[in-house]
Amino acid sequence: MSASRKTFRDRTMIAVAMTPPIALLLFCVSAAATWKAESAKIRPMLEQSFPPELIDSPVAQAADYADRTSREHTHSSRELASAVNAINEQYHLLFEVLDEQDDLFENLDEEHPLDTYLDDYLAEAAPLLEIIKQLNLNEASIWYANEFGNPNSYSSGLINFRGLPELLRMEFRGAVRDQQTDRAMEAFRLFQGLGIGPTDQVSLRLLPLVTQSIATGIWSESELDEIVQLVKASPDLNQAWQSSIRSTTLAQAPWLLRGEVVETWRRDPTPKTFAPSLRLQWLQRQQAFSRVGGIGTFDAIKRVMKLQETFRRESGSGLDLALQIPTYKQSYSPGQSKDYLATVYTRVANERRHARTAAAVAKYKLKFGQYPVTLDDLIKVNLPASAALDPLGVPFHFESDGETCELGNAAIWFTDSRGYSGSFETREGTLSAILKQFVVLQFR
Amino acid sequence: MSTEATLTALTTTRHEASSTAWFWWKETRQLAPLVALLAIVSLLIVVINAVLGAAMGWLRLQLPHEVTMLVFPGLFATGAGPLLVGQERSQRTIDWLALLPVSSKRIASTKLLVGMIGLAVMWVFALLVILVFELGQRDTSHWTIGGQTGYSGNPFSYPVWISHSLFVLLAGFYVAWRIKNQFYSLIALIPLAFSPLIATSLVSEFANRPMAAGQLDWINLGFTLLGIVIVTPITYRAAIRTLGAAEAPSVKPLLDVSPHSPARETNDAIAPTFGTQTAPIIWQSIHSAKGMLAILIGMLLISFLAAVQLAAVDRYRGIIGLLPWLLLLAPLAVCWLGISVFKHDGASERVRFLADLGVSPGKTYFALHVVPIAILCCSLLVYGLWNLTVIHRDSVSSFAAGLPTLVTISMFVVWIYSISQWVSQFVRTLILSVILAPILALITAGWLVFAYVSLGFPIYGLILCGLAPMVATFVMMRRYMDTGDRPLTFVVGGGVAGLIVLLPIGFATAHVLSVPTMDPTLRAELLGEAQRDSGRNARYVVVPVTGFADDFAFRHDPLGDKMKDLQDHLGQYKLDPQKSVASLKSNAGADVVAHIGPWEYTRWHGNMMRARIQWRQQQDDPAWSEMAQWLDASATLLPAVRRSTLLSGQEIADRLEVLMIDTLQTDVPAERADEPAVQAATQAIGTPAGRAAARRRAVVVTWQHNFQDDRGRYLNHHLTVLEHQPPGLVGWMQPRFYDSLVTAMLEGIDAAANRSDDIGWRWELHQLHQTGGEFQTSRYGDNLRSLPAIETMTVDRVNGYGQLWGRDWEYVELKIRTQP
Repeated sequence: MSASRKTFRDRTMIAVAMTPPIALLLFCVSAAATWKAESAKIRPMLEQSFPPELIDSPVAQAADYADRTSREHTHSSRELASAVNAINEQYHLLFEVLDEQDDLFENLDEEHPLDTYLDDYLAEAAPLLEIIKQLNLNEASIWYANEFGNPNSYSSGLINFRGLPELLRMEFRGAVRDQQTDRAMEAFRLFQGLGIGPTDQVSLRLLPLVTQSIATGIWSESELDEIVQLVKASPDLNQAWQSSIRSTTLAQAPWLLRGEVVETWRRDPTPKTFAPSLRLQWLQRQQAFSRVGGIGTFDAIKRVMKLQETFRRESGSGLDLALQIPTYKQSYSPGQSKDYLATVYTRVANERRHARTAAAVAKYKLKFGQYPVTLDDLIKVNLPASAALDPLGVPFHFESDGETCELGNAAIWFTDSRGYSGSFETREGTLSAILKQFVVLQFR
Repeated sequence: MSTEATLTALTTTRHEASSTAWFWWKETRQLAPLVALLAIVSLLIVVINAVLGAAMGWLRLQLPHEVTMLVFPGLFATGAGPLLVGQERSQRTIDWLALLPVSSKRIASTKLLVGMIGLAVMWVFALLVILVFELGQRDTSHWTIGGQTGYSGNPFSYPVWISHSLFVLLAGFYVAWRIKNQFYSLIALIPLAFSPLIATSLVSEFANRPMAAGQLDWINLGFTLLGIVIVTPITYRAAIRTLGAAEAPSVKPLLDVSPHSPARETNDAIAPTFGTQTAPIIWQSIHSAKGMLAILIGMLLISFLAAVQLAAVDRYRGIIGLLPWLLLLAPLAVCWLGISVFKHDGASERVRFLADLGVSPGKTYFALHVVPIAILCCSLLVYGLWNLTVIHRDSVSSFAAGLPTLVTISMFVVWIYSISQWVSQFVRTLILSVILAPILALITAGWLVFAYVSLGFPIYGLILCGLAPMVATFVMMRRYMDTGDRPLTFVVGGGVAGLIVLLPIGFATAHVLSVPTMDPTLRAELLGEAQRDSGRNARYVVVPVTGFADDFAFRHDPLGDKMKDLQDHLGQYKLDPQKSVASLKSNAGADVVAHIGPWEYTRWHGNMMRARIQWRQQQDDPAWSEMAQWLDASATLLPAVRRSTLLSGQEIADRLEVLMIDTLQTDVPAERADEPAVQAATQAIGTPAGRAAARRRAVVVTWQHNFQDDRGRYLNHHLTVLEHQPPGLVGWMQPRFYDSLVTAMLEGIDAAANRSDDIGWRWELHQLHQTGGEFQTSRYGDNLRSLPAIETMTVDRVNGYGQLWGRDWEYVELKIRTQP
């Protein structure tokens, strides 16, 4: 073993021993470099959508919220909300019964067992309704002191907003029962003013009730025109979709930039790190979702689901993932699932078309003395054929003998899916997944 | 060692020609270290479990005692054969034993019998521990075979386990008699030991119908018994053959060796020439443990292929069900790679050879480690590269989704390897280190993971603990080469163990101590104050506030007639303020304390708002009298709530007072200022000093009661900061955080009483109550505090203690008060 000249054998031996550690080291170094490089890409991407000062503000969401709302009505709207909540709580039994009543508008000339309770409630709530009218609340005027960026967001004390729309729904019901169209119209107008976005919650939707009321024939021609105008002016679905994605993204700014989990409910006790490529991927996906156009159509749902499917199968294979702790897959999915949102939006779009078609049918009757024989006749009251289509692009179910007619919210009957979630495999399944319930208006 | 044992046995036992007592004694002594070691380790685990259980009872991070107890007889069964036979064969003492006037039959049977007795002792010990510690579930007996709890859920059918360990013992003897190399015989034992399980899986794979779990248990038992029946005679035969006369080596012709014959080439290869000193050591490292390294690489490869397969399927049944077991080969291989550092074939001779050549301990250390480390690096690299191609999603494979990252795996590899190589230097016998190293590596890895997750041990600490054994073996290298490492190695070993155990504990202790406790004199003072205050004879009155959806919910049938409910019960939900405070009024003279929670308060607040809005709309007498009623009732309620010694009671009182002040200021016109309700309400409004006293009392009493009410409920006394602490330390930190909370709140109370703008207490409360949040946007920050309290206060929750303290409403000069 004399230490003389290095032979080929020497080099081989040393290479055998040293190559693996050096290769591993190189792998780790390149992973670290990827971590750094990917991390640097996130901010420019965020800056495409948000101004830098918003991203830098300690609580981006708070800044964004404060910019969008005014504090003008804070005091009154808070007072109002707590008062409305108190009275609604007192009448919660009535609310429960009303939720199950499908036939409230069926016969307006006959006394309904709920009438007295409805009247009692509205009498008690009259002063509050008056305030709503005076304040003329809108989306921007609602400002509640909220502790954005602090854990225990449940302690934010954001007063439950549901009371106001619930009160307006009650007022609308009561007005229609009393056949006072100006009162009902006022309630509808105020409700639309609140600018409530597309939602799945029954208590935050008035349009289905409006559509039902149209079949009773209480509305005049000009009032029907106003209803159509109000429906048209309701929030644009594409915009609502964008802003929902925008706010989800903005809320995740600390996670995107620094990997800090934005706490929502409970903290995960196991320390976790998130590789930048994973966060970047999430951001890219949000952007891909926001690029989906034609929100409110079945095509949009299909596109969103297709995107989700590709994402689901896609591998997060960035080199930097190797440096995450503890596993390659760190489950983190803030915000609502996008296919759910797209479905809700499509349902809302259909509700709007249904309302407009119903208004056109009622108007036709007022104009020509009888109901149209087919939906195509509605062109005479300026309803284009494209406005009377269900989510699958087929004209709404419509049967008419001139004297009476019925209008469905879809082309065909489908099973009520309140008990289970529909699937998108069949025509009926798709309709029930989107619309939940087959609604038929009986015009008499 | 076995020679030594034989000699002492020969001299200490009575020497009679017919007696083999000395032989029994020798065998028993040879086995003793294994029994003692396993017993000590298992008891240690039980003790650790007990300590952890007592220290953090709510944390369920314990190994079941039963598993510990059941695993150890199995480990004994694995080690007995190789220790009694394999070791003697490799040290050639068996040849010497065979020369003694004892029949081969007797040698073989005695060794086997000693092993069986040892196994019985281990089982008795294990079952005793299980009985003494009252382990095991009483409702499901483990003495049944094919119990109903399921194949995977019921791995503890005692009869199956016991017979299986007997099978492993016999198999261990068989391989030890057959294979001379100790390590190879152990490797051969692994598939043999699992063969009943493999056979069971094969049956379930090829059976035409799905098998119930209980059936599989029976099949498993059947195969095990069959294995015992087969292995016993062949073990005996192998023993007799080994102990018999060895075959004479066949004569090789000395002549006719061509210059290019394989023999010559082999000769050349044995002594290659090198130009450096390092390269030959590496070469030697590979060549002297070729077989062992090849087997270990094979194990890593098998484990890797199993992982690849598992990442591609999403259902584990039949043969696939065995794949997860193959994954265990990887940590075992890492462990044994660590052992190979100091305990491969001829390792001691090699070390001595290098020492004689004058190779420095550092270089020898490097030479011994370099090949195993290269193999490990290679494996890690392959793992890292493979993961680049894997889709880590549950929808593809839940196994792939749960794969630990390269960094995580590397950490585990470092721990296992480091501990194992240390064991292999520390323990003299190969078999003992082969058995001990996996156990110690498992315990260490478990402890460090626990320290990381539960005690908040930092990552650099994990690395430090991982490298400590490497440093220990390095330090001991010179002495080890000169075989003079004892007893210093015990000291260093103790140091390493102490470091691994104590460092996380030290970190945890420092973390706990970083939260200051209250000064003892202040504590005694406050406790005295609390004692005095809670001792007062106050009468508690629950204020009935009706009108909740769930008030009568229990009475209603969800499927019942809602219409009837509406008719019968609607009226009951109307809130009458005078009725609510009636019981308070009837006790007007006494010191009554009102109990009212946040939800009740929400109702009160909302209904009072209704009355106020109605009064604003219609300025008439009925509307006024409605509002006056609320004012009057609130005037009764407020002082009674203020007397509460619950912190949450004080918070409600603050909100009620804010509401009353707002009402008096905005909705009571000057001409109504003299009305009794207004007067009562004005009288009820407190002063900063009065509030401070009430708050102070509530804070100290609530603190004395550990933030629980008289029924042991925490109410809203919840501290966010605790969620941000390592879960294992929460129990220790809680009282300290409560101390800090109380200190901060007392400061806040003083600040409010003196109308000071001090930010310290607010910052502190935010840190404790909204840890990790943004101070500026919180209710403790100036932004929200500068707004009117009525606009920002939380109503339906009382979280955010002290959010209303020291704000403008406290010092307002009521305009009505100035009126005559």
